[in-house]
Amino acid sequence: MKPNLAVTIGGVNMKNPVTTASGTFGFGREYGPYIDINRLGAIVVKGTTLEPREGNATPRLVETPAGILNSIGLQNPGADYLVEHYAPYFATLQTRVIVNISGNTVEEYARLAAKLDGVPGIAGLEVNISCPNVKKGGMAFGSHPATAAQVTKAVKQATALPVIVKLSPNVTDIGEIARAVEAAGADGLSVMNTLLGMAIDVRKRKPVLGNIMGGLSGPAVKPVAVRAVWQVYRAVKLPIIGMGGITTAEDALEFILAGATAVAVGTANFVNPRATLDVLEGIEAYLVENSITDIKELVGAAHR
Amino acid sequence: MSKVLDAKVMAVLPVAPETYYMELEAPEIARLAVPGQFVHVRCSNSQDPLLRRPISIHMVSRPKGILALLFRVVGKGTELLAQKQIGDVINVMGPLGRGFTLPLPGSRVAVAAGGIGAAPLVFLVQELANMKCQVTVYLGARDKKNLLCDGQFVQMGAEVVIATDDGSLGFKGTVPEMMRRHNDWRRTAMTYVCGPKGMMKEISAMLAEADVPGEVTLEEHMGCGVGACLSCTVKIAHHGQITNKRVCADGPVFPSWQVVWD
Repeated sequence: MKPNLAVTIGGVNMKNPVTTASGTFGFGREYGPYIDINRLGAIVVKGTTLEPREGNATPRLVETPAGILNSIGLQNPGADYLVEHYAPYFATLQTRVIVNISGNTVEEYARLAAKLDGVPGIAGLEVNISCPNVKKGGMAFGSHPATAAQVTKAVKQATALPVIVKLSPNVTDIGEIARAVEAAGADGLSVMNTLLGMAIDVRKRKPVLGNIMGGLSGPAVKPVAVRAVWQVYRAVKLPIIGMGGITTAEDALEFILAGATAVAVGTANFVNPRATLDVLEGIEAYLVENSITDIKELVGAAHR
Repeated sequence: MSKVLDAKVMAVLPVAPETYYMELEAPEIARLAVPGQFVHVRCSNSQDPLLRRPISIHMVSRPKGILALLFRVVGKGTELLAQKQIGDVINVMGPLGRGFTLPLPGSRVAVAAGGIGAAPLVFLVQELANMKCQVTVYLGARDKKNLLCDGQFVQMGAEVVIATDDGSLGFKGTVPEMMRRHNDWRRTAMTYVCGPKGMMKEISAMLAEADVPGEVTLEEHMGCGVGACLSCTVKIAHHGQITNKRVCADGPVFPSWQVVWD
């Protein structure tokens, strides 16, 4: 019997638990030549801001052991462009499209959320309060329970769309932030964004990245992310999209067992453009092999 | 259209210091590729090094289904690639990016190559030769030992003029210095440039001054290779507006007069 893979993340109904990490999958179209993206439960598209952003100076990416540091700096064409040029494409897809949003101020988050409210093709918002690569906003909001709650509340008030808040691991107690965001009305959580890091070129004796610091992702961060999901699962009732170094179905299952209802593939897309489907097929095979009829039975199972 | 496939190594050999020639069995990529494009290569199946490596397409043989690469060992990834043996299988994604703009058949064109920059220009010169173009190749290297592809260019019917930094072969000096003493490139329909950034910058300025259209091939730290991650951006000026373009998807070939060099 085919196991039931469908999950719901705070009102975003996904036919399976596999999605993409924002910033690693463009607007979906880029991966069209390699996979049928309609097979995915959802796609989370590139971080979008109210106004277009040029992003940071290059180099924006450097490889580190089993990972990468990036400091793209939220380069994006802005919300109006997204609504006009990408949303019509999103509306043609048979997968849910979640738009990741960022702002410099609480008000900007709210205006952006309002602009995307009711746009056909957009199924939900992922609120980025955890980008380590921008000066204002981003991680600054996600580092404190009060500001994290403020942004969440403002976005919730501005839109009827499901609101998923993306948490930063660069905090002392991720559970505390999760509780504040839950109390402020979030419908779901994405755990986690990248870890703040840096690399230095010893020949030039200078930081490698144009922006000096960047966000670490890839297999190297997976244990940190599994731990973060575990802690957030214990702290709140909200459904979690788990992410951080997922490359294989086994990685994804670790996140699900730790408490993630859905999983996002990020950096692995760069290495293997089929990674999302490999993960999906592997999860399904695992369920069949273990005679599990519904993926939801596994969510948080390692806690029990 | 681009593919991801497992390609068998048909040949791998050192051709110059730290420089390797590799043939891969990849008929679909060979069929689709145009000069200037690249492939994104997984150098190992482990997670370290994690990312693929972008490598320009050196040559293809469509009848044989062969994709040829010529690359320099510059780090962990290319070092692992150089250690591959005949019969090994390598995961390759491509062809990727936008290639060179080809001139009208029979045009007079110039090609400027520095060091490993000669690699993609062999495929180009082959195509130009097929189009009965009159090609002059300004070919440079550090020294005679590091000079690449001179024989191939000659065989394709191109006129080849050589510069080496140490004067061990041909003109003593850089490619732009040598070009200043020649006039042929000033009357070309197009000059194609691939080499170190400094060389490309200098030649781009010369081309602008001589009012000759040119194309350069750029490099940046690359992630996805398909235009999704926005890691490999370069500044491009178009109609007075400077925007970020992606080397992987909008390039790697760009009009020489549009590049904002830093």
